[in-house]
Amino acid sequence: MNCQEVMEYMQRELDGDLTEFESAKAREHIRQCAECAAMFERLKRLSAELESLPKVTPPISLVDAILPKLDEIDRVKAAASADAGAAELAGSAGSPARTAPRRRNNRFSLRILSGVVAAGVVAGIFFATYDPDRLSDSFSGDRAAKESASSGSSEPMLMMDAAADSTDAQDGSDVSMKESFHLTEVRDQSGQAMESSPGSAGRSGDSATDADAGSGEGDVRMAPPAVLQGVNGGIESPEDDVQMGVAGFTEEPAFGPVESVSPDGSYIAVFSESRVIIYDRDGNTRFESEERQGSIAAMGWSEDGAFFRYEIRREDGAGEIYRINPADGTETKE
Amino acid sequence: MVEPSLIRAAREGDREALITLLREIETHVYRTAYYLVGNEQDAMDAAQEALIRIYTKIGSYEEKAQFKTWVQRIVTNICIDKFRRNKPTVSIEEHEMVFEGRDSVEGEVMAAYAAKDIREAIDRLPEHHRAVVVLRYLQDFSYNEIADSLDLPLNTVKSYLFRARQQLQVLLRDYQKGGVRG
Repeated sequence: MNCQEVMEYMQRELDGDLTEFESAKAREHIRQCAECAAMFERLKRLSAELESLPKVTPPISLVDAILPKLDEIDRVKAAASADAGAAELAGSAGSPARTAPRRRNNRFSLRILSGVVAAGVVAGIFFATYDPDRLSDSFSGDRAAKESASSGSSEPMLMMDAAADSTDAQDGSDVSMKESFHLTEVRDQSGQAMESSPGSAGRSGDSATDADAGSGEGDVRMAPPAVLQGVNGGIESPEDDVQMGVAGFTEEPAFGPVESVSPDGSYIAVFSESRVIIYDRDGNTRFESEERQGSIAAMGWSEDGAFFRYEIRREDGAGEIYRINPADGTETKE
Repeated sequence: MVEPSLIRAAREGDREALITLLREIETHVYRTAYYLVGNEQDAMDAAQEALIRIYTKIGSYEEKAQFKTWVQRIVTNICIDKFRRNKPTVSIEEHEMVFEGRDSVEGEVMAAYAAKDIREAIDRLPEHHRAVVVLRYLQDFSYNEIADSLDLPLNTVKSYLFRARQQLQVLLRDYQKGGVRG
Protein backbone atom coordinates (compact mmCIF):
# COMPACT_ATOMS: atom_id res chain seq x y z
CA MET A 1 0.00 0.00 0.00
CA ASN A 2 1.54 3.34 -0.98
CA CYS A 3 1.13 6.72 0.73
CA GLN A 4 -1.35 7.98 -1.83
CA GLU A 5 -3.67 5.03 -1.31
CA VAL A 6 -3.33 5.49 2.43
CA MET A 7 -4.27 9.14 2.05
CA GLU A 8 -7.62 8.13 0.61
CA TYR A 9 -8.09 5.55 3.37
CA MET A 10 -7.35 8.16 5.99
CA GLN A 11 -9.86 10.50 4.43
CA ARG A 12 -12.52 7.82 4.35
CA GLU A 13 -11.68 6.82 7.92
CA LEU A 14 -12.65 10.36 9.01
CA ASP A 15 -16.10 9.75 7.57
CA GLY A 16 -16.43 6.28 9.08
CA ASP A 17 -16.36 4.79 5.60
CA LEU A 18 -13.68 2.10 6.08
CA THR A 19 -14.28 -1.56 6.71
CA GLU A 20 -12.47 -3.20 9.60
CA PHE A 21 -10.06 -4.79 7.14
CA GLU A 22 -9.27 -1.54 5.32
CA SER A 23 -8.82 0.22 8.60
CA ALA A 24 -6.29 -2.40 9.75
CA LYS A 25 -4.35 -2.06 6.51
CA ALA A 26 -4.19 1.71 6.86
CA ARG A 27 -3.05 1.45 10.50
CA GLU A 28 -0.31 -0.92 9.50
CA HIS A 29 1.07 1.57 6.98
CA ILE A 30 0.73 4.51 9.35
CA ARG A 31 2.78 2.67 12.00
CA GLN A 32 5.69 2.44 9.59
CA CYS A 33 5.38 5.82 7.84
CA ALA A 34 6.02 8.91 9.95
CA GLU A 35 4.83 11.22 7.22
CA CYS A 36 1.44 9.54 6.88
CA ALA A 37 1.13 9.36 10.66
CA ALA A 38 1.66 13.12 10.91
CA MET A 39 -0.78 13.70 8.08
CA PHE A 40 -3.40 11.53 9.76
CA GLU A 41 -3.00 13.46 13.00
CA ARG A 42 -3.53 16.75 11.19
CA LEU A 43 -6.53 15.44 9.30
CA LYS A 44 -8.09 14.13 12.49
CA ARG A 45 -7.53 17.43 14.21
CA LEU A 46 -8.95 19.34 11.25
CA SER A 47 -11.99 17.08 11.18
CA ALA A 48 -12.51 17.65 14.91
CA GLU A 49 -12.24 21.42 14.36
CA LEU A 50 -14.79 21.24 11.58
CA GLU A 51 -17.12 19.20 13.76
CA SER A 52 -16.92 21.81 16.49
CA LEU A 53 -17.69 24.78 14.25
CA PRO A 54 -20.35 26.90 15.98
CA LYS A 55 -23.85 25.60 15.33
CA VAL A 56 -25.13 29.05 14.47
CA THR A 57 -28.83 29.83 14.75
CA PRO A 58 -30.75 32.68 13.12
CA PRO A 59 -30.78 35.86 15.24
CA ILE A 60 -34.55 36.16 14.76
CA SER A 61 -37.25 33.75 13.65
CA LEU A 62 -37.00 33.60 9.89
CA VAL A 63 -40.48 32.15 9.54
CA ASP A 64 -41.98 35.06 11.48
CA ALA A 65 -40.07 37.42 9.23
CA ILE A 66 -41.47 35.93 6.04
CA LEU A 67 -45.05 35.41 7.22
CA PRO A 68 -46.29 38.62 5.52
CA LYS A 69 -44.81 37.43 2.23
CA LEU A 70 -46.38 34.00 2.65
CA ASP A 71 -49.75 35.67 3.29
CA GLU A 72 -49.32 37.64 0.10
CA ILE A 73 -48.57 34.47 -1.85
CA ASP A 74 -51.71 32.91 -0.40
CA ARG A 75 -53.78 35.94 -1.37
CA VAL A 76 -52.70 35.60 -4.98
CA LYS A 77 -53.52 31.90 -4.90
CA ALA A 78 -56.92 32.63 -3.37
CA ALA A 79 -57.63 35.23 -6.04
CA ALA A 80 -56.63 32.63 -8.62
CA SER A 81 -59.03 30.01 -7.32
CA ALA A 82 -61.81 32.56 -7.08
CA ASP A 83 -61.16 33.21 -10.75
CA ALA A 84 -61.23 29.48 -11.43
CA GLY A 85 -64.58 29.27 -9.67
CA ALA A 86 -65.95 32.01 -11.88
CA ALA A 87 -64.63 30.27 -14.95
CA GLU A 88 -66.24 27.00 -13.88
CA LEU A 89 -69.58 28.67 -13.29
CA ALA A 90 -69.37 30.30 -16.68
CA GLY A 91 -68.70 26.91 -18.28
CA SER A 92 -71.47 24.45 -19.05
CA ALA A 93 -72.60 22.25 -16.15
CA GLY A 94 -71.08 18.79 -16.15
CA SER A 95 -68.10 19.95 -18.15
CA PRO A 96 -65.25 17.44 -17.92
CA ALA A 97 -62.96 20.10 -16.50
CA ARG A 98 -65.11 20.20 -13.36
CA THR A 99 -64.29 16.59 -12.58
CA ALA A 100 -60.57 17.24 -12.63
CA PRO A 101 -58.90 17.18 -9.21
CA ARG A 102 -59.19 20.42 -7.33
CA ARG A 103 -55.47 20.95 -7.03
CA ARG A 104 -54.99 20.70 -10.73
CA ASN A 105 -57.60 23.35 -11.30
CA ASN A 106 -55.89 25.61 -8.82
CA ARG A 107 -52.56 25.32 -10.50
CA PHE A 108 -54.09 25.82 -13.88
CA SER A 109 -56.00 28.88 -12.86
CA LEU A 110 -52.99 30.34 -11.10
CA ARG A 111 -51.27 30.24 -14.44
CA ILE A 112 -54.25 31.88 -16.04
CA LEU A 113 -54.18 34.64 -13.49
CA SER A 114 -50.50 35.21 -13.97
CA GLY A 115 -51.20 35.15 -17.68
CA VAL A 116 -53.73 37.87 -17.23
CA VAL A 117 -51.30 39.82 -15.09
CA ALA A 118 -48.53 39.37 -17.59
CA ALA A 119 -50.67 40.16 -20.59
CA GLY A 120 -52.04 43.18 -18.79
CA VAL A 121 -48.57 44.43 -18.00
CA VAL A 122 -47.51 43.96 -21.59
CA ALA A 123 -50.59 45.68 -22.83
CA GLY A 124 -49.84 48.54 -20.48
CA ILE A 125 -46.28 48.80 -21.65
CA PHE A 126 -47.16 48.62 -25.29
CA PHE A 127 -50.03 51.03 -25.11
CA ALA A 128 -48.01 53.43 -23.03
CA THR A 129 -44.82 53.34 -24.98
CA TYR A 130 -45.50 51.81 -28.36
CA ASP A 131 -44.07 53.96 -31.09
CA PRO A 132 -43.62 52.34 -34.49
CA ASP A 133 -40.77 54.67 -35.41
CA ARG A 134 -38.74 53.79 -32.39
CA LEU A 135 -38.75 50.05 -32.83
CA SER A 136 -37.24 48.57 -35.92
CA ASP A 137 -39.04 45.73 -37.65
CA SER A 138 -36.26 43.40 -36.69
CA PHE A 139 -37.08 43.74 -33.06
CA SER A 140 -38.58 40.37 -32.46
CA GLY A 141 -41.37 41.29 -30.09
CA ASP A 142 -42.66 43.86 -32.49
CA ARG A 143 -42.24 41.57 -35.45
CA ALA A 144 -44.03 38.75 -33.70
CA ALA A 145 -46.98 40.96 -32.99
CA LYS A 146 -47.10 42.04 -36.62
CA GLU A 147 -46.73 38.52 -37.94
CA SER A 148 -49.40 37.09 -35.76
CA ALA A 149 -51.67 39.99 -36.48
CA SER A 150 -51.44 39.35 -40.19
CA SER A 151 -51.22 35.57 -40.35
CA GLY A 152 -52.76 34.44 -37.09
CA SER A 153 -49.57 32.47 -36.49
CA SER A 154 -49.53 30.60 -33.20
CA GLU A 155 -45.76 31.07 -32.79
CA PRO A 156 -45.63 34.15 -30.60
CA MET A 157 -42.10 35.45 -30.21
CA LEU A 158 -42.92 37.65 -27.32
CA MET A 159 -43.91 35.19 -24.67
CA MET A 160 -45.17 36.12 -21.28
CA ASP A 161 -44.68 32.84 -19.49
CA ALA A 162 -48.15 31.89 -18.36
CA ALA A 163 -49.78 33.90 -21.09
CA ALA A 164 -47.93 31.71 -23.51
CA ASP A 165 -48.95 28.65 -21.52
CA SER A 166 -52.61 29.48 -21.75
CA THR A 167 -52.34 29.81 -25.49
CA ASP A 168 -50.45 26.51 -25.62
CA ALA A 169 -53.22 24.93 -23.63
CA GLN A 170 -55.59 25.59 -26.48
CA ASP A 171 -53.52 23.51 -28.79
CA GLY A 172 -53.53 25.11 -32.17
CA SER A 173 -56.68 27.05 -31.66
CA ASP A 174 -56.57 30.32 -33.49
CA VAL A 175 -54.87 32.64 -31.01
CA SER A 176 -52.90 35.55 -32.26
CA MET A 177 -50.46 37.50 -30.16
CA LYS A 178 -52.47 40.60 -30.83
CA GLU A 179 -55.46 39.16 -29.06
CA SER A 180 -53.52 38.12 -26.02
CA PHE A 181 -52.61 41.71 -25.42
CA HIS A 182 -56.22 42.39 -24.61
CA LEU A 183 -57.05 41.76 -21.02
CA THR A 184 -60.66 40.81 -21.52
CA GLU A 185 -59.98 38.57 -24.46
CA VAL A 186 -57.36 36.66 -22.59
CA ARG A 187 -59.83 36.11 -19.87
CA ASP A 188 -62.48 34.85 -22.24
CA GLN A 189 -60.03 32.48 -23.81
CA SER A 190 -59.04 31.24 -20.41
CA GLY A 191 -62.65 30.51 -19.70
CA GLN A 192 -62.84 28.58 -22.94
CA ALA A 193 -59.75 26.65 -22.05
CA MET A 194 -61.32 25.56 -18.81
CA GLU A 195 -64.44 24.16 -20.40
CA SER A 196 -63.13 23.52 -23.88
CA SER A 197 -63.50 19.97 -25.24
CA PRO A 198 -64.46 16.53 -23.93
CA GLY A 199 -60.81 15.71 -23.35
CA SER A 200 -60.06 18.88 -21.52
CA ALA A 201 -59.56 17.33 -18.07
CA GLY A 202 -56.69 15.30 -19.36
CA ARG A 203 -55.40 18.16 -21.41
CA SER A 204 -55.35 20.65 -18.59
CA GLY A 205 -53.35 18.10 -16.64
CA ASP A 206 -50.92 17.74 -19.50
CA SER A 207 -50.52 21.42 -19.96
CA ALA A 208 -49.89 21.90 -16.26
CA THR A 209 -47.06 19.40 -16.55
CA ASP A 210 -45.73 21.11 -19.63
CA ALA A 211 -45.81 24.43 -17.90
CA ASP A 212 -43.83 23.08 -14.98
CA ALA A 213 -41.24 21.64 -17.30
CA GLY A 214 -41.07 24.84 -19.25
CA SER A 215 -40.68 27.23 -16.40
CA GLY A 216 -38.38 24.95 -14.47
CA GLU A 217 -37.69 26.10 -10.96
CA GLY A 218 -39.35 29.45 -11.62
CA ASP A 219 -40.50 31.20 -8.51
CA VAL A 220 -43.94 32.44 -7.90
CA ARG A 221 -43.25 36.00 -8.84
CA MET A 222 -45.27 38.65 -7.19
CA ALA A 223 -46.46 41.80 -8.78
CA PRO A 224 -46.66 44.79 -6.45
CA PRO A 225 -50.06 45.02 -4.78
CA ALA A 226 -51.02 48.14 -6.72
CA VAL A 227 -50.56 46.34 -10.01
CA LEU A 228 -52.43 43.29 -8.76
CA GLN A 229 -55.30 45.45 -7.68
CA GLY A 230 -55.56 46.93 -11.09
CA VAL A 231 -55.71 43.50 -12.62
CA ASN A 232 -58.18 42.19 -10.10
CA GLY A 233 -60.44 45.09 -10.85
CA GLY A 234 -60.37 44.03 -14.46
CA ILE A 235 -61.27 40.47 -13.56
CA GLU A 236 -64.15 41.27 -11.30
CA SER A 237 -65.82 43.48 -13.84
CA PRO A 238 -65.18 41.98 -17.23
CA GLU A 239 -67.45 44.58 -18.82
CA ASP A 240 -64.83 47.25 -18.18
CA ASP A 241 -62.86 47.66 -21.31
CA VAL A 242 -59.14 47.24 -21.61
CA GLN A 243 -58.47 50.93 -21.31
CA MET A 244 -59.30 50.84 -17.61
CA GLY A 245 -56.63 48.32 -16.89
CA VAL A 246 -54.16 50.08 -19.11
CA ALA A 247 -54.77 53.41 -17.43
CA GLY A 248 -54.04 51.74 -14.10
CA PHE A 249 -50.75 50.43 -15.38
CA THR A 250 -49.56 53.62 -16.95
CA GLU A 251 -50.16 55.49 -13.71
CA GLU A 252 -48.10 52.94 -11.82
CA PRO A 253 -44.46 53.52 -12.69
CA ALA A 254 -43.12 50.52 -10.76
CA PHE A 255 -44.13 47.61 -12.95
CA GLY A 256 -44.26 44.17 -11.47
CA PRO A 257 -41.83 41.62 -12.80
CA VAL A 258 -42.18 41.02 -16.52
CA GLU A 259 -41.15 37.64 -17.83
CA SER A 260 -40.34 36.11 -21.18
CA VAL A 261 -39.54 32.48 -21.84
CA SER A 262 -37.14 31.67 -24.68
CA PRO A 263 -38.73 29.84 -27.64
CA ASP A 264 -37.14 26.50 -26.70
CA GLY A 265 -37.96 26.92 -23.03
CA SER A 266 -34.31 26.89 -21.92
CA TYR A 267 -34.29 30.33 -20.38
CA ILE A 268 -36.61 32.78 -18.78
CA ALA A 269 -35.87 36.48 -18.81
CA VAL A 270 -37.31 38.51 -15.97
CA PHE A 271 -37.37 42.29 -15.83
CA SER A 272 -37.64 43.20 -12.18
CA GLU A 273 -36.41 46.08 -10.06
CA SER A 274 -34.88 47.84 -13.04
CA ARG A 275 -32.73 44.96 -14.20
CA VAL A 276 -33.01 41.98 -16.48
CA ILE A 277 -32.15 38.58 -15.04
CA ILE A 278 -31.88 35.46 -17.16
CA TYR A 279 -32.57 32.18 -15.41
CA ASP A 280 -32.05 28.76 -16.90
CA ARG A 281 -34.45 25.83 -16.71
CA ASP A 282 -33.16 24.87 -13.25
CA GLY A 283 -33.68 28.33 -11.82
CA ASN A 284 -29.99 29.19 -11.82
CA THR A 285 -29.11 32.77 -12.64
CA ARG A 286 -27.26 32.91 -15.93
CA PHE A 287 -27.04 36.63 -16.33
CA GLU A 288 -27.97 39.73 -14.43
CA SER A 289 -27.86 43.13 -16.07
CA GLU A 290 -26.93 46.35 -14.40
CA GLU A 291 -29.67 48.55 -13.04
CA ARG A 292 -31.31 50.44 -15.91
CA GLN A 293 -32.65 53.94 -15.64
CA GLY A 294 -36.09 53.98 -17.16
CA SER A 295 -38.90 51.63 -18.01
CA ILE A 296 -38.77 48.60 -20.23
CA ALA A 297 -40.35 49.42 -23.57
CA ALA A 298 -40.07 46.06 -25.31
CA MET A 299 -38.41 42.71 -24.94
CA GLY A 300 -38.15 39.47 -26.86
CA TRP A 301 -36.09 36.46 -27.78
CA SER A 302 -34.44 35.74 -31.10
CA GLU A 303 -36.12 32.89 -32.93
CA ASP A 304 -33.36 30.42 -32.04
CA GLY A 305 -33.32 31.54 -28.41
CA ALA A 306 -29.66 32.55 -28.65
CA PHE A 307 -30.25 36.19 -27.80
CA PHE A 308 -32.58 38.18 -25.65
CA ARG A 309 -33.11 41.81 -26.62
CA TYR A 310 -34.84 44.54 -24.71
CA GLU A 311 -35.35 48.23 -25.00
CA ILE A 312 -35.16 50.63 -22.08
CA ARG A 313 -37.02 53.90 -22.42
CA ARG A 314 -35.38 56.54 -20.31
CA GLU A 315 -37.32 59.33 -18.71
CA ASP A 316 -36.05 61.82 -21.28
CA GLY A 317 -37.61 59.64 -23.96
CA ALA A 318 -34.38 58.25 -25.34
CA GLY A 319 -34.27 54.52 -25.98
CA GLU A 320 -31.47 52.03 -25.42
CA ILE A 321 -31.46 48.55 -26.85
CA TYR A 322 -29.45 45.78 -25.25
CA ARG A 323 -28.75 42.28 -26.39
CA ILE A 324 -27.99 39.46 -23.92
CA ASN A 325 -26.34 36.20 -24.86
CA PRO A 326 -27.40 33.80 -22.09
CA ALA A 327 -24.97 31.08 -23.20
CA ASP A 328 -21.85 33.07 -22.39
CA GLY A 329 -23.51 35.56 -20.02
CA THR A 330 -22.62 38.69 -21.95
CA GLU A 331 -24.56 41.80 -22.80
CA THR A 332 -23.96 44.31 -25.55
CA LYS A 333 -25.55 47.66 -26.16
CA GLU A 334 -26.80 48.12 -29.70
CA MET B 1 -35.68 14.57 11.89
CA VAL B 2 -38.97 15.94 10.67
CA GLU B 3 -42.09 13.82 11.17
CA PRO B 4 -43.18 12.24 7.86
CA SER B 5 -46.81 12.86 8.79
CA LEU B 6 -46.10 16.57 9.10
CA ILE B 7 -44.48 16.65 5.67
CA ARG B 8 -47.42 14.78 4.19
CA ALA B 9 -49.95 17.15 5.73
CA ALA B 10 -47.95 20.14 4.45
CA ARG B 11 -47.85 18.67 0.95
CA GLU B 12 -51.59 18.15 0.97
CA GLY B 13 -52.19 21.83 1.59
CA ASP B 14 -52.39 22.06 5.39
CA ARG B 15 -51.01 25.55 5.90
CA GLU B 16 -50.51 25.19 9.65
CA ALA B 17 -48.50 22.03 9.07
CA LEU B 18 -46.41 23.77 6.45
CA ILE B 19 -45.62 26.69 8.75
CA THR B 20 -44.72 24.29 11.57
CA LEU B 21 -42.50 22.43 9.14
CA LEU B 22 -40.73 25.62 8.12
CA ARG B 23 -40.13 26.46 11.78
CA GLU B 24 -38.55 23.07 12.33
CA ILE B 25 -36.12 23.42 9.44
CA GLU B 26 -35.30 27.13 9.59
CA THR B 27 -32.21 26.65 11.76
CA HIS B 28 -30.82 23.98 9.42
CA VAL B 29 -31.49 26.18 6.42
CA TYR B 30 -29.88 29.19 8.07
CA ARG B 31 -26.82 27.25 9.23
CA THR B 32 -26.01 26.04 5.74
CA ALA B 33 -26.60 29.51 4.32
CA TYR B 34 -24.39 31.08 6.99
CA TYR B 35 -21.39 28.90 6.21
CA LEU B 36 -21.93 29.15 2.46
CA VAL B 37 -22.29 32.91 2.14
CA GLY B 38 -20.05 33.78 5.10
CA ASN B 39 -22.00 36.51 6.88
CA GLU B 40 -25.15 36.91 8.87
CA GLN B 41 -27.03 39.38 6.69
CA ASP B 42 -26.63 37.48 3.41
CA ALA B 43 -27.37 34.25 5.27
CA MET B 44 -30.66 35.71 6.53
CA ASP B 45 -31.62 36.79 3.02
CA ALA B 46 -30.68 33.49 1.44
CA ALA B 47 -32.40 31.44 4.15
CA GLN B 48 -35.61 33.45 3.86
CA GLU B 49 -35.58 33.08 0.11
CA ALA B 50 -35.10 29.33 0.55
CA LEU B 51 -37.99 29.07 3.03
CA ILE B 52 -40.29 30.97 0.69
CA ARG B 53 -39.29 28.67 -2.15
CA ILE B 54 -40.00 25.64 0.03
CA TYR B 55 -43.38 27.14 0.93
CA THR B 56 -44.37 27.59 -2.70
CA LYS B 57 -42.75 24.39 -3.99
CA ILE B 58 -43.78 21.90 -1.32
CA GLY B 59 -46.22 20.37 -3.80
CA SER B 60 -43.34 19.40 -6.07
CA TYR B 61 -41.46 17.53 -3.34
CA GLU B 62 -41.61 13.81 -4.05
CA GLU B 63 -41.44 11.41 -1.17
CA LYS B 64 -38.93 9.16 -2.89
CA ALA B 65 -36.30 11.80 -2.11
CA GLN B 66 -35.30 12.55 1.46
CA PHE B 67 -36.93 15.72 2.70
CA LYS B 68 -33.74 17.03 4.31
CA THR B 69 -31.72 16.63 1.11
CA TRP B 70 -34.49 18.33 -0.87
CA VAL B 71 -34.38 21.25 1.55
CA GLN B 72 -30.59 21.48 1.45
CA ARG B 73 -30.64 21.37 -2.33
CA ILE B 74 -32.87 24.44 -2.39
CA VAL B 75 -30.77 26.43 0.06
CA THR B 76 -27.41 25.49 -1.49
CA ASN B 77 -28.69 26.40 -4.96
CA ILE B 78 -29.75 29.82 -3.75
CA CYS B 79 -26.48 30.41 -1.89
CA ILE B 80 -24.27 29.28 -4.73
CA ASP B 81 -26.25 31.56 -7.02
CA LYS B 82 -25.77 34.49 -4.67
CA PHE B 83 -22.13 33.70 -4.13
CA ARG B 84 -21.49 33.65 -7.87
CA ARG B 85 -22.82 37.15 -8.11
CA ASN B 86 -20.55 38.52 -5.42
CA LYS B 87 -17.23 36.82 -5.97
CA PRO B 88 -15.61 35.16 -8.95
CA THR B 89 -15.02 31.45 -8.58
CA VAL B 90 -11.40 30.52 -8.06
CA SER B 91 -9.89 27.11 -8.56
CA ILE B 92 -8.61 25.11 -5.64
CA GLU B 93 -5.07 25.16 -7.03
CA GLU B 94 -5.00 28.92 -6.69
CA HIS B 95 -5.69 28.61 -3.00
CA GLU B 96 -2.37 27.04 -2.31
CA MET B 97 -0.74 30.23 -3.50
CA VAL B 98 -3.09 32.38 -1.47
CA PHE B 99 -2.24 30.44 1.68
CA GLU B 100 1.47 30.73 1.11
CA GLY B 101 1.20 34.43 0.51
CA ARG B 102 -0.78 34.98 3.67
CA ASP B 103 1.50 32.70 5.58
CA SER B 104 4.61 34.73 5.00
CA VAL B 105 2.98 37.96 6.07
CA GLU B 106 0.52 36.98 8.74
CA GLY B 107 1.78 33.62 9.92
CA GLU B 108 1.97 34.45 13.59
CA VAL B 109 -1.38 36.16 13.69
CA MET B 110 -2.96 33.15 12.03
CA ALA B 111 -1.49 30.80 14.61
CA ALA B 112 -3.32 32.68 17.33
CA TYR B 113 -6.65 32.56 15.55
CA ALA B 114 -6.69 29.02 14.22
CA ALA B 115 -10.39 28.32 14.69
CA LYS B 116 -11.46 31.60 13.20
CA ASP B 117 -9.18 31.08 10.26
CA ILE B 118 -10.59 27.66 9.57
CA ARG B 119 -13.84 29.44 8.89
CA GLU B 120 -12.09 31.93 6.69
CA ALA B 121 -10.36 29.11 4.90
CA ILE B 122 -13.72 27.44 4.29
CA ASP B 123 -14.88 30.73 2.85
CA ARG B 124 -12.10 30.62 0.32
CA LEU B 125 -12.87 27.16 -0.97
CA PRO B 126 -14.53 26.94 -4.37
CA GLU B 127 -18.30 26.94 -3.88
CA HIS B 128 -18.98 23.25 -4.42
CA HIS B 129 -16.07 22.16 -2.25
CA ARG B 130 -17.37 24.45 0.44
CA ALA B 131 -20.91 23.14 0.06
CA VAL B 132 -19.67 19.56 0.47
CA VAL B 133 -17.76 20.48 3.65
CA VAL B 134 -20.75 22.34 5.08
CA LEU B 135 -23.19 19.50 4.42
CA ARG B 136 -20.73 16.96 5.86
CA TYR B 137 -19.89 18.87 9.04
CA LEU B 138 -22.79 21.21 9.72
CA GLN B 139 -25.62 18.95 8.55
CA ASP B 140 -23.89 15.65 9.33
CA PHE B 141 -24.79 14.28 5.89
CA SER B 142 -23.43 11.05 4.42
CA TYR B 143 -21.68 10.95 1.05
CA ASN B 144 -24.94 9.82 -0.55
CA GLU B 145 -26.99 12.53 1.07
CA ILE B 146 -24.51 15.16 -0.07
CA ALA B 147 -24.61 13.73 -3.59
CA ASP B 148 -28.42 13.95 -3.59
CA SER B 149 -28.43 17.49 -2.24
CA LEU B 150 -25.89 18.87 -4.67
CA ASP B 151 -26.84 16.71 -7.62
CA LEU B 152 -23.26 15.48 -7.91
CA PRO B 153 -21.96 11.96 -8.56
CA LEU B 154 -20.81 10.13 -5.43
CA ASN B 155 -17.19 10.05 -6.54
CA THR B 156 -17.20 13.78 -7.15
CA VAL B 157 -18.51 14.35 -3.64
CA LYS B 158 -15.68 12.28 -2.17
CA SER B 159 -13.07 13.95 -4.31
CA TYR B 160 -14.34 17.44 -3.37
CA LEU B 161 -14.44 16.58 0.32
CA PHE B 162 -10.99 14.99 0.33
CA ARG B 163 -9.40 17.81 -1.60
CA ALA B 164 -11.05 20.40 0.60
CA ARG B 165 -9.78 18.70 3.75
CA GLN B 166 -6.32 18.31 2.30
CA GLN B 167 -6.32 21.99 1.48
CA LEU B 168 -7.51 22.91 4.93
CA GLN B 169 -4.94 20.73 6.69
CA VAL B 170 -2.14 22.55 4.90
CA LEU B 171 -3.33 25.58 6.81
CA LEU B 172 -3.54 23.65 10.04
CA ARG B 173 0.01 22.31 9.63
CA ASP B 174 1.21 25.89 9.45
CA TYR B 175 -0.53 26.77 12.70
CA GLN B 176 1.13 23.85 14.43
CA LYS B 177 4.53 25.02 13.32
CA GLY B 178 3.87 28.48 14.68
CA GLY B 179 3.41 29.99 11.27
CA VAL B 180 6.72 28.78 9.87
CA ARG B 181 6.35 26.60 6.83
CA GLY B 182 8.38 23.41 6.95
